[in-house]
Amino acid sequence: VTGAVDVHDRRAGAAGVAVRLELAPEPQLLGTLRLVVATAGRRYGLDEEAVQDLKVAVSEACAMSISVLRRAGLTTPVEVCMLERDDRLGVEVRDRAPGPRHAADGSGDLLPEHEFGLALVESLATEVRSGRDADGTYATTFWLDRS
Amino acid sequence: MDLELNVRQVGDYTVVEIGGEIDVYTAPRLREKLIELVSEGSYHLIVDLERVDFLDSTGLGVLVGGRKRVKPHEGSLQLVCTQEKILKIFRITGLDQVFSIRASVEDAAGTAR
Repeated sequence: VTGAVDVHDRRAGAAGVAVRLELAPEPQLLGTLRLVVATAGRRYGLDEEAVQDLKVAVSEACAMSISVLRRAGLTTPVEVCMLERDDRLGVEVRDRAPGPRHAADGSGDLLPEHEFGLALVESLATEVRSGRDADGTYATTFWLDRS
Repeated sequence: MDLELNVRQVGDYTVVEIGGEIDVYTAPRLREKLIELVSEGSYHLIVDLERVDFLDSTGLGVLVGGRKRVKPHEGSLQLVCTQEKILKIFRITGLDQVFSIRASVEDAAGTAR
């Protein structure tokens, strides 16, 4: 998918996956992405404050993926899955960029431009986890409560 | 989605009115505008966020950068915002303690010095 957001509504079929999107690593698509996730969040039953939190958290996570993909010269998409679990809405953001997520000085810190973004995600969502899977994809997951 | 930037003068203050969404895509335009204004000698800035629908960490970084740019000139960068969804972003990052955030441009222009 290039220059577009591809939406597959799999609410009826897949186990817990409400929406799956593939986003080309283009920063100008983040606004469209936010519209889509906000719509999905409202449909799920999030109140407006939680919808705003969702928009910020997803946008930040995807912006980080777009940044590392572009730095690596890749055009592979960012994958966004929205997962429905009882009273919580989960989001999983994945990319296949091989580059470092941490500062080159080995301090273990995030790249400076990502620190603020991840801090926002961690403040707005719960159970924020990130790391590389065995298949090489880097995933960030987090949850928002349905009030 | 686009970013709207309007600049006007209120007394000694240069007001930057922003409309739309400030994110990693649009924030560079705001950064350029702030750099341009400071390089032209506008050291007392009021950034009006009342018509901003979305603000991300890149936008915060640009505002922090703007504040750093006016400081050596004994200037100021105040914000105008009453929107809870935007104020929340400043609160959770602690930047509400860094910026002077006013309820109106008039308030900012009347009390800044």
